[in-house]
Amino acid sequence: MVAMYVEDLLVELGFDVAGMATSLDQALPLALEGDFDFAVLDVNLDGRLSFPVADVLRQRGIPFLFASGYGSKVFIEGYHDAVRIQKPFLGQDLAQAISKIVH
Amino acid sequence: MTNNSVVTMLSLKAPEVADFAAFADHLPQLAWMATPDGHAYWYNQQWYRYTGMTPEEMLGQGWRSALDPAVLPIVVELWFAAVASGEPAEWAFPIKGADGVFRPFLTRVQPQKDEQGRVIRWCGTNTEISEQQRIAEVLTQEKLHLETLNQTMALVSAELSLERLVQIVTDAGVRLTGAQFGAFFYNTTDNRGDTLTLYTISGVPKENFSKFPNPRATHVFSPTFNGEGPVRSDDILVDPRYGRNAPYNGMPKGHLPVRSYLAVPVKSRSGEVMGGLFFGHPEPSRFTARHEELLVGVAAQAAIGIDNARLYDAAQREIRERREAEKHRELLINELNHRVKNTLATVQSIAAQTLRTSALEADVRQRIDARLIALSNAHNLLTEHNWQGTTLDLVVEMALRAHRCDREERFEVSGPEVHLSPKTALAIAMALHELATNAIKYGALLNERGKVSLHWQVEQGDGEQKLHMVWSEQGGPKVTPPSRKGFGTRLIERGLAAELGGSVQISYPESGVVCIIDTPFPTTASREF
Repeated sequence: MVAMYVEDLLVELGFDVAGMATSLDQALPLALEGDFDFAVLDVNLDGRLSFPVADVLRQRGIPFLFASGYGSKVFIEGYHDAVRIQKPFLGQDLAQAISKIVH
Repeated sequence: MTNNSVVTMLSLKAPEVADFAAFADHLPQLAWMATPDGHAYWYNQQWYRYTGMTPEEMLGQGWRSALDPAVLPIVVELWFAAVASGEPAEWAFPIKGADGVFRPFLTRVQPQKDEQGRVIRWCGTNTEISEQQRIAEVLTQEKLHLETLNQTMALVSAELSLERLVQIVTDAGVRLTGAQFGAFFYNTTDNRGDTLTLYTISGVPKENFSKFPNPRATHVFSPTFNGEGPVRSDDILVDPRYGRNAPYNGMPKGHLPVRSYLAVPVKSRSGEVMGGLFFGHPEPSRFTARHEELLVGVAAQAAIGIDNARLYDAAQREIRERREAEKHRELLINELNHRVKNTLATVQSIAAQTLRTSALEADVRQRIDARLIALSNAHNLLTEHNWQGTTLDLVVEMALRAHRCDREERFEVSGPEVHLSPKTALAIAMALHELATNAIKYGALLNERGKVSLHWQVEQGDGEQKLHMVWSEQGGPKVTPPSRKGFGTRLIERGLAAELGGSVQISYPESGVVCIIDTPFPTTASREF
């Protein structure tokens, strides 16, 4: 549901959505082989943390940002500096975050 | 009186030669005379009585047979050195009694000289010093005991590890009693709080005991384990309490030999028996009443030390458990926050999808979004404070952050620090969001001059404290009361009032909207979600 909303927001902001994953199993192949300019990662993918996906993206040099329902004090070792937005967020918050990772 | 007795004494007639001979014979000391070159020629009666020797035996160098052959050469050397020097001297060495027992004596020799200073005779005495030596030994022993006790006390009071503590105590017991070995059997609790009996050994390797089961409450052991008092036996093998309990009927096979036995219970201040100190020696009659006394002292120290160690352990465990619980709670709260906000994001998504076709879409969607995000921010704030509540200034800062950006100078906010419960904080945050949104759309923040002031204070009501909070707008466009109350107003007037259990009033004077919030205290941290 939230993914659909993010998809709509991205389209409204003028982006093409290359793919969508709602679980780690779907997200990993996309991260490994997908052709896209940036990714919006929910920290929690169907109960599993999405850091493995972030690791792959970082490896490939593809920028990404986190959308998280966790408070600002909760984050994982190695991703303190990653761009993140708090759910729920506005279209303008998303646009601002994207502008920080895509140049 | 005194003068009279002095006179009486002086008036006695001067002693005669026979008196001196009798006096010399009846001196309590052994006494003798020797020629200037060191050959004894006369001994008093006390000498013959003590040594049991005859005058015939004493002729020549007869005295030498009364000395220990081990020290004789030294004594002979010292004696002739004194003779050569012509100066008085004294030495301590044992002299054999008629019963064959050597006893320590202090020997003093004094030369008698003529007018030219030549030695004409040597006078000697031998004074028994058994008692002095015994006292000196006892004192040395006592000093050692006291030192051991002091050291033990210092170590025990500084030691918080139960294991090291019982070892210190057991070692001290062995040193104080001269036991061949000692053991401390003590009760303790494991991590799960179950009681178990552990022991430590001193004087011999632990392997000497590791193959035996722990002592049970047999006739020998039960007075100790029941805390009845010390048990001291000169020879446990002939003690009536010994060997009366199956299956071993005495010491198990392979046990270190014990004849002398001494055990004391270790009892806490509350009377609980913490364990017992046990000491053994393979020879009989090694433990005295003094040893028992010392051990009772050590046991008392041990009890205090163990009490301290237990309290410390308990405190540590408590702290550990609390930390764990705290960590767990934090995790739960974070997880909850995550879920709440995911739910809000879902609601946001549903609303967006639903309103996609509506003509009002943009404005309505914006308002829904802004409200959801205000709610979400309030949740974040509370999560950061572990849902223990937060303070009003933080709530105001968070709720008005978005509205104040670019127009900071148009807000005037003041009030004392007030602690709010999570429920109150959420309600006030939502109300402030609505008030600020309305001010931007219709009120004081619509034009370029209007201002908003927000002040609060704590007031004394009838027996309870009240929070009095006033939102007032000035300088905005002329206000006309709304013909219909919108959701925002209803949320403030009805929702907030219900949440707070207080009253909320919005009025619409032409000069600007005024909202007065009164809510009773305490609104401090209670866990209402």
